[in-house]
Amino acid sequence: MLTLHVHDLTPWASRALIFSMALMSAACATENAALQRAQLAYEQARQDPEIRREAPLALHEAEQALRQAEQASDEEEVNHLAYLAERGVEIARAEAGRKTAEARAEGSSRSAITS
Amino acid sequence: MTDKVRPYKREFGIDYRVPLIWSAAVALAGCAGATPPVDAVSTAEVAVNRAIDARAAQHAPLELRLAQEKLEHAKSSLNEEDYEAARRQAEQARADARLAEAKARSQSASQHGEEVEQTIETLERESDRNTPKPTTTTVPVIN
Repeated sequence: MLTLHVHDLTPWASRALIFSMALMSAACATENAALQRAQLAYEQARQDPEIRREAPLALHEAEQALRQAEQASDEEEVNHLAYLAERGVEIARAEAGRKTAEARAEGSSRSAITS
Repeated sequence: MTDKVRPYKREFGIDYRVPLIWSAAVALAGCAGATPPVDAVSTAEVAVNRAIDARAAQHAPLELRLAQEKLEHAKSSLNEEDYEAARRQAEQARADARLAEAKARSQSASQHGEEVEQTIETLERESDRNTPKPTTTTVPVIN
């Protein structure tokens, strides 16, 4: 099997290769509006410590849907999977909100009992 | 046949290529969308019912309605043997229903939390009151 290593290439060839790969991935990433929206929603959720702490499983599921969307080739399927990913992020957000609300209610009743 | 002729036939007496062939066939069928997505539709239906049980009609009516509409579409696509559309609609219906349920549960929890806080506040006000005025709240007084 033919294998090509970056260090086999001349510096300029490898730079050109990396540049074109970056260009290609950028083109793929910006191609679909639904996918872009899902990616943005996921990144925002991932940076939210409350969601990461309270809804890690739902966030992971959203990530899996997003990765599938990124790998799908058929545009309709990309739209579909991006929709599922975006919904997944919203589910994670809602679950985190529920956990926080439950913890708050429990905390206030606990402090009321001890005081 | 002897083991020399069929070296893939192991001592267990099972041709291990059979599950491989089966899984390949299932995978191909899945890719082609040739199998009716009955599981996806029933999973979506379960999710919608869970959302209704979580009082999504009250707390997340938009998401619940979307889920119900897509579930209906999925069912009619299934009847029309448009399996690809049925699968997508069912999967989206499930996602919408799960969101409706999560939102409903979240709002119920917040409401419950507010009620708990209000009750505690009332109780604290009652117990802090030194004058023996008759209480006006319906909350049972502890102590």
